[in-house]
Amino acid sequence: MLHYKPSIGSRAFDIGNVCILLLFSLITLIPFLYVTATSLAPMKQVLQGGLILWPETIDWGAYHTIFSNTHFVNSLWVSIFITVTGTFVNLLFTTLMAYPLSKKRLKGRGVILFLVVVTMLFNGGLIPTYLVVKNIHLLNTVWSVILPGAISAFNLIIMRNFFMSIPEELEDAARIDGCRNFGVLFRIVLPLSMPALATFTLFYAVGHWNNYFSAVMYINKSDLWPIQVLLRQMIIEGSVEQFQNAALEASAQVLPKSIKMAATIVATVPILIIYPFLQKHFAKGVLLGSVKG
Amino acid sequence: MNNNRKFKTVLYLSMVVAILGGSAIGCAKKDTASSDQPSSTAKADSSKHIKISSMFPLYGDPAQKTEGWKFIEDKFNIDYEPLAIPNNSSDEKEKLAVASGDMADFMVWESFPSADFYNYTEQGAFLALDDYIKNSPNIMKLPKTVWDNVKINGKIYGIPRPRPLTTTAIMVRKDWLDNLGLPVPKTTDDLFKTAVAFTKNDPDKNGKADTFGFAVGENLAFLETVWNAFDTGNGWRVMEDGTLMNSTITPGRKQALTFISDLYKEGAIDKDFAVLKTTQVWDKINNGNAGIYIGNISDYAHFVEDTTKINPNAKFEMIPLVTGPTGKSGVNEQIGFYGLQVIPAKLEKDPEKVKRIISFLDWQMSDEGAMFKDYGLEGVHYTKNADGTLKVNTDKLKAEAIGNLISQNKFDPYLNVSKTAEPEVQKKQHDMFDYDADKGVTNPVISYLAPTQIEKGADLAKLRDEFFVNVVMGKRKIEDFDKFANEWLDNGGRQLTKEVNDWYKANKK
Repeated sequence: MLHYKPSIGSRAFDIGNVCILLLFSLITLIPFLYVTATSLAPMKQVLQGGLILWPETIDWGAYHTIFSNTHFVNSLWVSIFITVTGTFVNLLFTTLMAYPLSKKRLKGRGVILFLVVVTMLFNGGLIPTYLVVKNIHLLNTVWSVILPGAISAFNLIIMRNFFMSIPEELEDAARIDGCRNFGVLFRIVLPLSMPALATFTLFYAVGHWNNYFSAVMYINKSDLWPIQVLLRQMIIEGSVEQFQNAALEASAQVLPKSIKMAATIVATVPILIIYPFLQKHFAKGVLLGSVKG
Repeated sequence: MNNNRKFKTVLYLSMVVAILGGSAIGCAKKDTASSDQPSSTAKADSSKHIKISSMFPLYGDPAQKTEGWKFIEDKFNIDYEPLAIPNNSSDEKEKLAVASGDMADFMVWESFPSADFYNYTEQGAFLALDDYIKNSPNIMKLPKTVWDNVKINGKIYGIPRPRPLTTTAIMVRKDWLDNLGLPVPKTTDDLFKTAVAFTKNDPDKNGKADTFGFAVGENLAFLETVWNAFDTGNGWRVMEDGTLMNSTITPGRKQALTFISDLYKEGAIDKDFAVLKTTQVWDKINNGNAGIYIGNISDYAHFVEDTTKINPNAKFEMIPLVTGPTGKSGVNEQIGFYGLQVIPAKLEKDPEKVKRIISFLDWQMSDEGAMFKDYGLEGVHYTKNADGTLKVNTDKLKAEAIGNLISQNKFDPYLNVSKTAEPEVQKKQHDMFDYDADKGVTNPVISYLAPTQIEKGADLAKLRDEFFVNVVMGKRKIEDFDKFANEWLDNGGRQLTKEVNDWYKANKK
């Protein structure tokens, strides 16, 4: 590809760059490797402690413990449902609110936006939010973790800015061809916004998948627990007092540490898998706002 | 100008909203308390089928709806709804339940003594139980010390989940003692010599200097019986004139710190101690780096299991307490329970339900209840052999998580004996609990939470930990101890001491 001979200076720069980037990737890779290796390492190696980057032999015991848990499959489905439905709800509502707010002809736009920004700075706090969720009878349903956060104020504002960058002329053309408001939104604006949509899909999906706290707060039935709650439940962790008071039934052949690591892998990998599929959009999405159309 | 005005209007509006929101929080409890009484008008009738929910922190798997569940529902004629909450967030969830007026019919409240618990009690969130429990034989089996610890203004607002009062033991690598020809240490001087020998004389005979004496954790954790040998007091020490002195600044503390910093100088205390969490300290024992550990008797079982896994020759033993220079020794006496079963005040209008809850709890604290929690139902989860031993279907027991159906337990000094460990290990734990029983050093104000403690307790603890750690690591001199004591007093310690002494004088039994 190169048609010119790079100067020594620029070569040195490239080499330096590569080294630094390699170093950074190692820094991010090693903890992941450690977690993976520890989850697979045999008990003796784990007990000896230290940094494990390669298991001496492969021991699937920790994974076996996790997957043989009677609640595991159930919780996996709950999590998948929450992630898929939740992300869909998020995207639908965020779009439906962001689009009108991007139009200058909307009256009271500034006030609405201001109110949205207020929610970014102030929120009701745990107990009032809980009371709202309770009084609209969402407690102990999966909707309690989906609906209260249906629109993220931050994402809404970014999305609105993205919509504003789409040339008005395109919409005018669509209107001349007979499109109404919804037609313009779904046939013109959204297809042009794929980078933004992909980015928010990722943000929202990761959020739902990793959601732990609100599930614990709003869901009392163990058969509605998402995977994150269940996995943390398998790891007895806490203060010394809790150690002492917990029923130490983990006398089995698997170490809590291995299970902890395996749980981390099981919880992380599914969401890692969707990154490559969204990556090309994602890369574009990050640029958003930097170049105005 | 116009814009600015608009902005102001919106600002005022949002402030009004915020204030209204704030006052709504205040009312919330009352509102829900008065609107949420499904059976307040029901006549007392023991044959009536009622619904009872229970919220408690859950360790491990939630219980399945199987025979055990049905057994409870039939026995007490109730619809039983256990709301098990993950132990990782249980504290927050408990506060949330009380503050939002959305409590289960009975609930475990964990943190005690805590400011929140006192506040909620004063605000009347919980039912005083004295009259309801006085005829419950199993509940009343709890020792008086424990009842004294839970009373608030002389009343009982929660039934404690009993735990042993004393739980600590000194554990040493017996095989190392044998290798070096040393006797079991009896005094702090012996302990000093042993720890130094463990560091310098290669007790594991592997030719490497990879061992040391004490396994210690951050903020000098796991040295409890050493402190007590020097008579530091457990939290607060009754001084010769009858007043209380915080054990942070007792004369014994100075001696003990000297002892520990000397050990550190000899390399007999883990060099990394200042940054080690509990499980990391355990790793040092398991790997055969450390030879002495002071901690929970219940932990003994996993140490025996794990040390022998790495080194089959390892012999880990619990030894009697060591005595200090003045002949003192002891273990900290704990509060004697973990969490309280509380009942919301709104159930006062439904005495039948309260009665049913109390009888349910009383059963959980009976021998039969203890059998149920540990082994399930006879004929379903276990059968009795001819010789009286049990044949337990552990797989079924575990799969259904029977033990997690109920949250209360019997008063049992041997509760923390590891039921799944080798019989020999269980026997040693059992004997150690017996040995410990009369060695407790009491904290005379264990259930009192002084206002200054709430306000400045964390800062004072930080001040203490920093000084202690620095002295041990040689960054500050032990001669500074008196200077530190003054600093501690000036930063709220004096006020704290006064409050604690006032309370002690008023409540001394």
